Amino acid sequence: MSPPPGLLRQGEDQLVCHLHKSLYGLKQASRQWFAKFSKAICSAGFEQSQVDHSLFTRQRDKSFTALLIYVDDILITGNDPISVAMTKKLLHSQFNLKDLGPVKYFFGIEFSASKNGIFIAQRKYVLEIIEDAGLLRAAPVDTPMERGLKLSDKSDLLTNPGHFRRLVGRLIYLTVSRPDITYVVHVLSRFMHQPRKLHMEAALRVVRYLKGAPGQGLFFSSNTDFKLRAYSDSDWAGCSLTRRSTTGYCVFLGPSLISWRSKRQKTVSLSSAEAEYRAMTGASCELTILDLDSLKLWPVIS
Amino acid sequence: MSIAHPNPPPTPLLLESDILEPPTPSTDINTTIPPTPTSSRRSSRHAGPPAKLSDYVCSNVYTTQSSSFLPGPPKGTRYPLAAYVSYHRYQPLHRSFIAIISSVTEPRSYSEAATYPEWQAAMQSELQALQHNGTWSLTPLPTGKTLIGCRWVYKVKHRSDGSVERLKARLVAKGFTQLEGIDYQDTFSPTAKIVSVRCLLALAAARG
Repeated sequence: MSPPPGLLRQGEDQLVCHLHKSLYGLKQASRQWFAKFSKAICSAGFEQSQVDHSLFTRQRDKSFTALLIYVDDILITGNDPISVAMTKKLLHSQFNLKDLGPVKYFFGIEFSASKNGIFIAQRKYVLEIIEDAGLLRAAPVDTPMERGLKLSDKSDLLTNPGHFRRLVGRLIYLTVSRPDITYVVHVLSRFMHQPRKLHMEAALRVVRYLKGAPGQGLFFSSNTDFKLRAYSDSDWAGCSLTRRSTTGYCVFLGPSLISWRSKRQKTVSLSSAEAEYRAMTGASCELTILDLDSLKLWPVIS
Repeated sequence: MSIAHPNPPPTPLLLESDILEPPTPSTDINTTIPPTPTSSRRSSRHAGPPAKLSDYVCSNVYTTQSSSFLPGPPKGTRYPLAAYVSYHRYQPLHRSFIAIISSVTEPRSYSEAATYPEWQAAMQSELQALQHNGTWSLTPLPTGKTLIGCRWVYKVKHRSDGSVERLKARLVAKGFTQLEGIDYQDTFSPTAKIVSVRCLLALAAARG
C-alpha cells in the first residue's frame, strides 16, 4: 500500500507499506471481520439465523437474546436484562467496542423510545434531500404523486441524468421509514436508465410532498399481540408501457407495520384475478420469510 | 464545508419553532440584499438577520444558492421550512441531541483536515495505533505487484446525548483497485435486512 500522507520523512519516498493485517477498505476486510465476529458469538451459544445471516439469537430457558449486526454496528435486545448484560460483557472482552446505550441513531435513522413504543424517522435525511433538491422554499403538496398519473417515455431527455438518479436513489433509502412514498418511488425507479423531464418533475413533487411533514416515520407500539397479518392488492396492467400489473403488499406484526412492497410483476397477467393471485403469492413469500419461527424470534412471545 | 465547533455550547438551545414566528421575514437567515448602485430609491443600509439570532441555533438547514437540482432565487419565502418541521413533541434531551447531530460536519480530504490541529492529532494517534498493531512494515515495492492507494476518512464521534466525544481519523485502503482472484478470493459483508431490523424493533417495543 502506498504510505499515507503525513507518515514518511524525507529520503524514504521510495518505500511502500507491506500489509500484515487487513485494513479498512480492503476487499477482504469485511469478510475477515465477520468471520471473527461470528466465531466469537457462536461460541457463546448464539445461533445464526438462516433467513438473515446477520441475526444471531440465543435461547436459554426463558431468557431470550437477539443480536443484529450491520457491518460494525450491533443491536442487542432480549427479554432478560441479565442475559443482555452478559452478552455485552462477552463482546467487550473480545473486541474493543463502545456501548452507546439505548439506540438513538442507527444508519441514519433516528430512534426515540418511550413506554408506549418506539418511533423511527429519517428527519435529518429528509431535510438533506429537500436542501439538495433546492426546494427549501417550495410550497408543499398533499400527495406524493398526481392522481392517475401515467408516466410515459415521451418528453425531452434530461441533460444531466445523474441528478435524477441520485435523487431517486436517496428516495429509495427513505422508504425505510416512509411507506407512503413506496409506490411513487417504485414508479420513478423504472426510468433510471433514461430519465426525462416529466420524470424529474414527478420526483421533485415527491420532495415537495416530503416537505409537508419531514419528521414522519413509523411507530412500533408496545401493545401488541404478535400476530402476523398481511394485506395484498394489485392493479391490472398498471404500467402503460409494458401492460404488466403491479403487486402491492404490507405485513403487520400486531399493530406495527414491518414490511411492505410495491413491485411490477414479472409477466403480463391476462385477467385481474391472475394479477391478484400473483400479488398474493408475493405477500405469502414475504410471510414465509417473516414467519417468526424461521427468524428465530418466536421465543419472545411466550 | 468546515469543521464546526468541536464543543458546541449545549445551552441555551432554542429551536426555530420557539424563536421564529412563521410569517416574519427573519426566517430568511442567509439572505442579504446587495445594494444596487443604479437604483437610488433603495437604501444602502446593510440588510441581514438580527444580531441577537446569532446566539441561537436558528435552523438546522441552511439554504445555499448552489443547490444541485434547481437554482432558486434567494428571495424571501412564503413557505419557510420552519413552519413544517417541528420538534416540540420530542423530549428536551432528545431535542438538543438532534440539534447537535445536525450542526456538526466533517472534513472531506486530507488537505482540508490538515489545517485543523484537532484533526492532525487524531491522524497522529491513528498512525500510532496502526504501527503499534504491526499492521505494516516499510519495504520497497516488489516487482510485478501493484500498489494500493489509501486515504484518510474523518468522523466526528458523538456521545449518546449528542455532544461531541472525539474526532476520529481513520486510514482506509483503496480496495477498489484490487482484482478478484489475484489480490483476494472471497468477500462478504454482514448487512442486516431492514425488515429484520423493523421486526426486532417491534419485538423490542413490546418488551417495553
